[in-house]
Amino acid sequence: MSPKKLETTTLTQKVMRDYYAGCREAKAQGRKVAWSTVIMPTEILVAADVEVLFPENHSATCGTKGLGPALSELAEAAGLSQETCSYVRCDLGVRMGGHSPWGGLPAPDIVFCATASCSTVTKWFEDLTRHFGCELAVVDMPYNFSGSITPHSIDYIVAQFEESIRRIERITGRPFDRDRFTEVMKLSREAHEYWRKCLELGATKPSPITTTDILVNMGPIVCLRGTQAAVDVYRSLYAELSERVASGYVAAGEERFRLFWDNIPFWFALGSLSRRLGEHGAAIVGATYLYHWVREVDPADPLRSMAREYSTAVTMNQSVAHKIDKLCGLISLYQADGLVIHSNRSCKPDALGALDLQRAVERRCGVPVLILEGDHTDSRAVSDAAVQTRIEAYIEALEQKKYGHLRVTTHEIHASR
Amino acid sequence: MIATATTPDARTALLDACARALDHPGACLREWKQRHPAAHVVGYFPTYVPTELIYACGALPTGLWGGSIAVSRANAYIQQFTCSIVRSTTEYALHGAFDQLDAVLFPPICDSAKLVASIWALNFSERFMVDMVTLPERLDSDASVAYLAAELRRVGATLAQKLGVTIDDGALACAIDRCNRLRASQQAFCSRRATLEATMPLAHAAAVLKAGTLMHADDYLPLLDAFLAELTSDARSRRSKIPVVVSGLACQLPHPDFLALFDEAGFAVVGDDLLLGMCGGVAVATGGDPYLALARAFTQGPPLATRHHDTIHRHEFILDQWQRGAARGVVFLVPKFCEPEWFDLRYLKAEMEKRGIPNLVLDFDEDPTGFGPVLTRLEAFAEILM
Repeated sequence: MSPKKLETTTLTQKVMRDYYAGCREAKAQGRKVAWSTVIMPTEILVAADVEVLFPENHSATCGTKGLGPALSELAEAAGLSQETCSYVRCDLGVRMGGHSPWGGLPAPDIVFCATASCSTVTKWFEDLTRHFGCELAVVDMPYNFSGSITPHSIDYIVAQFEESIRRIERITGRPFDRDRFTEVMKLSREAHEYWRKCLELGATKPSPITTTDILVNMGPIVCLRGTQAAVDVYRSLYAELSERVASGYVAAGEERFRLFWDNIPFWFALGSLSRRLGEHGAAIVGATYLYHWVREVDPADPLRSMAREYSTAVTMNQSVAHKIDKLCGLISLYQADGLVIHSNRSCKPDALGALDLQRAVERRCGVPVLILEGDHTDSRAVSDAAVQTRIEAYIEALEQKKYGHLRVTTHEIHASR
Repeated sequence: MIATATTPDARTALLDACARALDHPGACLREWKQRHPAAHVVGYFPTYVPTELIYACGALPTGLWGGSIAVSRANAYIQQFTCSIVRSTTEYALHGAFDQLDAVLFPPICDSAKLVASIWALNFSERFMVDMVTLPERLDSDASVAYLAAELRRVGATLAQKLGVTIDDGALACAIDRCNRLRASQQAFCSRRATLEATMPLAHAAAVLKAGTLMHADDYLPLLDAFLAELTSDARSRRSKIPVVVSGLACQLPHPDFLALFDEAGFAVVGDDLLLGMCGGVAVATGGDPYLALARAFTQGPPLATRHHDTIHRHEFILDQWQRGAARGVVFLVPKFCEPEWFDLRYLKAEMEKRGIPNLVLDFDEDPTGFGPVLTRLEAFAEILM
């Protein structure tokens, strides 16, 4: 039986369509439009009535439609090496006239770039300012090498938030409304809380939702933080998941193996990877990536709390030791039987350390770990045959570990006929 | 008047000492420790770590440059889609090559460097202290200076505590003075590049500057200064060579045999942002808060591929070098898998082409073989520029 579609997904899709249409309309009406990295407190921009678009989200969407290779080729023809992040190549490919599911993004009046996710975004956004001739605001969020954020890092980030606010005042020609900002922050906190609670319900065993379904519904927490629309989506999702848990609904069939995923997904193969794992009774029930949007922002002290949360929520800005601790905690929370690490060549800050992570998780959690070489949007960097072979070998290891024997799969029965 | 010659003695003494430091770093370290039994040695990943902090602790700063080692054990720690210097340096560490060190400091040059620092902290902390000088990524803000001053204070205190020494403002002022003198001499060396070509081709010049990151300044500076003092005019040197500017990242240099191809193909390197990346910073102000002075100097250095500045741009620096050296072309040296450099390359090439400046892109790693095609490409480029 195929899993039921979440009713909230229909709402999410409408909210995202309205969001993109709203940005386009704002641009047409001469209102200010900003582009931003996803790890950036864009609540500041929302409070200033600046429409915000996220090229990373746009590139991921291009990836889900299988556009990564074609867009990358356009970017490479325009001089960008294949050794750069494929999100950037997708974006440049669209700027070079390639196809976009959203018809491209309205040109920005200003771009905001926070460095917590990686240093790549700085190079990317420098290119955007050269392309569009617009202003660039870099918000430097230093790497938390020791695993905890230093007081001078917080002061530094807060000073840059204040600088960003002054930039926005200059761009919009209006003073920044701190009261409105407080209201936006309350909405942001509410959406974040619902998002966190949805993930916690997702950790229920058996799981009421697959990670693919959560990914399909994550647009608003990425793009619409600080809006009522995001609160509505996650309140709805939370209610729906609560009902599923209460009724004992299981999203992923027999769930013989509960797997946890690390790093950005293979956007171009969300469905096929789930099906491939599903043939073996395995389901991905959680992902580190989803936890990048678990934050506790404090409307009473918005800038300092955001400095802390935005620069520490992503594993990319934390030490490998910190990531190991976080992963081990999540594997325990999800009662996962295994961990799949995407060694994503387009995201070095999240991929490097994978080999230490593998050893540590196997030792501390006692679960087998699979590393898959890949790329988040450029499917040319992924060998389908190698993925298949590695998954099959991994399932055998899981079988041995959990059930102490090998199981003959439907696939193998068909193959032997 | 252009060009130069020196007495063979000063040149030979400098090159011999540098070659020894580069070819036998472990033996040189052991000798230095024998001569300074109470002192410590602190390794650092090139190139933005302020060595003043290390000197202020009475320690020897030594750059960790990787090299042409076959990577095998490091494959269990770092994936193959990273630049060769992080992989080879890790391989050396796994072979115990750095066990003589008391501490290692990393700069967050790029995403790979941040993660490698983290991987070293996880795996090697029992052998030596591992810390990061978390430099700001943007250099165009007063907040960056204040932040970096505080970060340098933290690193200095942590390092001093680990080494069992104290780091006071007086010791730091002495270290700043020593590094200012080192930087000034190296910059004088670079600024006479055009005149140096007769006696000091690119591969040798790179070796001299690289050795400056391995040897103690008190041992290195007299040799370099003696060489500079004896440089005399010699109008013969440049006429038969083709002047070019070389651009790259100072954290990874090509193999010396690769650099020697420039000479072989008939180029005189009259300017660069490759070697200057190792020594191109401004003098650190003396007097006042030394940490603040160090931080301010870092933000005022030449543009870097891995740091953001709103108004100071790398192509302007390269064009300035090109103009000053009356160069005919630009060669970009890009380390394989170096994302920041591959990003910059697209825009730098466009800026050169906008002005009709011929340019050539060569990628490289630390593999010491297979330079035949590189020479062919350099020779073809030379023919275009003739």
